Amino acid sequence: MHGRLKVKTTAVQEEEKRIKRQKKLKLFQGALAAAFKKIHSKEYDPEGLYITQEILAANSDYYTIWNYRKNAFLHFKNTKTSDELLKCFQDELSFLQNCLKNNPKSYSCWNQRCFVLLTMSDPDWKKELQLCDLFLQFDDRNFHCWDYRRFVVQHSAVLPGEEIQFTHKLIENNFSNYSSWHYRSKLLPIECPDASDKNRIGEKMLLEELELVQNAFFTDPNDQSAWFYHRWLLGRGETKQSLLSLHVSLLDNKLTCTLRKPASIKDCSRLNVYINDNPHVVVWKGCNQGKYQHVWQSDLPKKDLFSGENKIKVEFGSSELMVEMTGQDEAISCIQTNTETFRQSSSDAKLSVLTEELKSCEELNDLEPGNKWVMLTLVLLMRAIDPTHYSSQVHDTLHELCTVDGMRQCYYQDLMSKFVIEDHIAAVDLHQRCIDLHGKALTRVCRFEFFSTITSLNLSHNQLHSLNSPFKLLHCLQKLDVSENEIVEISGLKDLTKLVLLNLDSNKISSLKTLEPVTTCAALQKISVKSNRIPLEDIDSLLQILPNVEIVYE
Amino acid sequence: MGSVVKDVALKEDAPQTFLLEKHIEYIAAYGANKEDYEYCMTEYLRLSGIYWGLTAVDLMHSRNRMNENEIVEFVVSCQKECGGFGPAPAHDPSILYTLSAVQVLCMLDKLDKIHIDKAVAFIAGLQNKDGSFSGDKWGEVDTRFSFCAVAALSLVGRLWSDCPINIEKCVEFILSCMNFDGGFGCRPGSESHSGQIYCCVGVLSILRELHHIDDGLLGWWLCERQLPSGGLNGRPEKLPDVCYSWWVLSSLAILGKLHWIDKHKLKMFILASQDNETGGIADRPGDMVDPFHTLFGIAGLSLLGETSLKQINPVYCMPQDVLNKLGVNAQILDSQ
Repeated sequence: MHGRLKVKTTAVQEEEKRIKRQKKLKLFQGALAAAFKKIHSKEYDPEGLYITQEILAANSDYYTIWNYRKNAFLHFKNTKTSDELLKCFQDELSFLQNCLKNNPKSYSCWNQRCFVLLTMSDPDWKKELQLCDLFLQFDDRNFHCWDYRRFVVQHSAVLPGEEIQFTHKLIENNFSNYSSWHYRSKLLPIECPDASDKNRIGEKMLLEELELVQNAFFTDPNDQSAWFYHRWLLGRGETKQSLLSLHVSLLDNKLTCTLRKPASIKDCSRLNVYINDNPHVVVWKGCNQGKYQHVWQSDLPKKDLFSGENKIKVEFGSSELMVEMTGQDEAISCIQTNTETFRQSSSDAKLSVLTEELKSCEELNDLEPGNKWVMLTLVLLMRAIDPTHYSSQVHDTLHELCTVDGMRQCYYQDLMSKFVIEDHIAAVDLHQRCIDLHGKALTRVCRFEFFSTITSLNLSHNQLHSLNSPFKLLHCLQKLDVSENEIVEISGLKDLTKLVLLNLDSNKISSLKTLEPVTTCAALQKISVKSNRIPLEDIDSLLQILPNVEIVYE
Repeated sequence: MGSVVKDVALKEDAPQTFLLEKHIEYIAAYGANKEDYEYCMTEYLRLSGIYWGLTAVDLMHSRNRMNENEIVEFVVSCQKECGGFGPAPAHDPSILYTLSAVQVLCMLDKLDKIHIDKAVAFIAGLQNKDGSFSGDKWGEVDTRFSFCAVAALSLVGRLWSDCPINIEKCVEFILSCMNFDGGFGCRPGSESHSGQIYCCVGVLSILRELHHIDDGLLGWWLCERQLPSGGLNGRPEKLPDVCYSWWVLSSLAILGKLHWIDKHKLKMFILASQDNETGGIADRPGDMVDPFHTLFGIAGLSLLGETSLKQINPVYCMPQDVLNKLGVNAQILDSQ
């Protein structure tokens, strides 16, 4: 029951209503019984049509009753003359129009209309398009009607250009029309596709569209429809799958590859390994559980095969990484990161376009200070244009957004954390294998696939709550400092077999059970858990479970 | 010029505590009077109604208030020769009520009372070439039906062994319904809608394919559904509603982004939508209550950590203990 206000009534009114309803119900159920009799005996006649019409006029959601009528029409196709049949279908369409007037969001009615149009010969699609116009005039967000419109368009070869014009008309009437913007996001790439990505718009059209949407948010800067659409127009190029790092360990006889996007075992068939330029067949195994993973491992030939110099190369598509073994036990190769590494995830629009957009939004920000949509768009534009240059402005704006839009402050904090980590990755040489991200006000971690070969990670003095799945990617990690956070769980440390030192001081760990994952870290030598909330008896148990580990607790 | 935000205001005298006992009474009494007008007029969705009521009381630790034998008998009587279930014995079978039947029987641990193989065949028979699912033999396609198919098959243990559907195609179809905002609609080309998003995220979660989703973009769209009243709407520029609150909230939970909204404000919105006279929860404060919104209100409160309730699973909208017992689980992204 949607939008039915509860009205206070007296006992007398209540009783009157009850009696009236009982009467109505009796009639309804009488009709229903008669209809089900017809359904059961497959009796398709005028009486049946009449009864079912009465029922559906009172309650258009009785889909079984609509199904009776579908069966009846199919039956009539064999028994009636074409004129009679046409009359039946026309009657049904006008009956449906009445039902839809009363219940414009009835799945059953719209569905029945599709059935009629697909079943009758020579349907008048033009008239159907007009019906859509009419219903969208009444409610321009009725998604049933929009879907029906797309159905009509599809069956009557209406050109995308005509539909683009239609949405333009609606948007000019009322900018705040999410349904129309949505439709344009589907139509424009068909009409004016981008040469390199068929889901995006070609440049000339893009500029026109940016102007239209700018008109919208300058007219009403609080209209979220325009802002969502704007974010899409500026676009985010899809990240291509590629290799991030290669790690070879002769101690474990393992070769480990990390990919930018999660891959399935099937995708791994595109990972080609060469030892001294000779193709080498390997069997890949995911480092963690799950169908799609970033990190894939395979066994290497026995160590004695590795005498003298060896080159190990891995290819995935056009990306390749290589290590040279010259007597050492371990070697890594990582991609060179830079400011471009993540820029594409902000936007793939041209720099000149982005700069124009930034100028407009700054203008609007002066006119409408404190508007969250403008502020967030500024942040995204600055990130897309030059993350380093705008670093402190991005930080300040996001900080302000946490106050302006308090309900979503965790969203803005997480976004900031993501930017901080991305900027750090862009600036470091991953071959150093040490990452220092302490004191960055991080509320979350991400992009850890870039860290899969690092051995030391400092995340102390942040605001992290949990060490979960991203940490599973750190298969080389030996030293982890996460002191001074708000950590309550550490499930991601499970099976980090290289971990030697772990600093968990000053967190919110409250029990032995929470610490359980460290018992699976086979190389662990020292763990510090000062200033947590662990009961002493739990510490005692831990000392017993890990007799060879130094446990610092006070 | 500024648009007026469509929202409601919570009144000061609106309920602020969870009326557990009243809701148990409301659900237990609903349907006790088989002559009741509202009850009779909703026969076309009876089996789903039973699922809403049973799940609600189960979450409130009061399943014993329902007549379990009567329910099982009714569910069994709704299965058709083709294996599918109608909402009531005389009604036509549909994938919607087939899922409801399976969910109800899972909660009552009585799956053995129906013809599972036939139900599985019915569901599998509704998959189309493009991977989509029809709701019934008449062929209407909707991502809701994909969810019904995948959820029901996983609950009866036929998704990972002896699976009768094309999972790859199923995923492909869901992804073809993805939109510019990261959300999903009913069919390719349809506008994003949080009910459909729940269904599509649910399918991908059950099939362990959540990595296809841009969780940052969709999570942002979802958290922007929260209005100043604390309630969530189902699409931009719409009124808040308790049922949409659940669909948005559960989608956020699956994506590990529950913290992107103000949980306390949403809790107060749901509590204010309770009827403190009759029990039950309405779509928004001051409206008439019904079992549908009562379940989704309670489910939302459970996800928000209400301790007097059983824990709910955000994908199946069923008590977690039921799924644990069945050994059914889905992919939930870690909250970070």
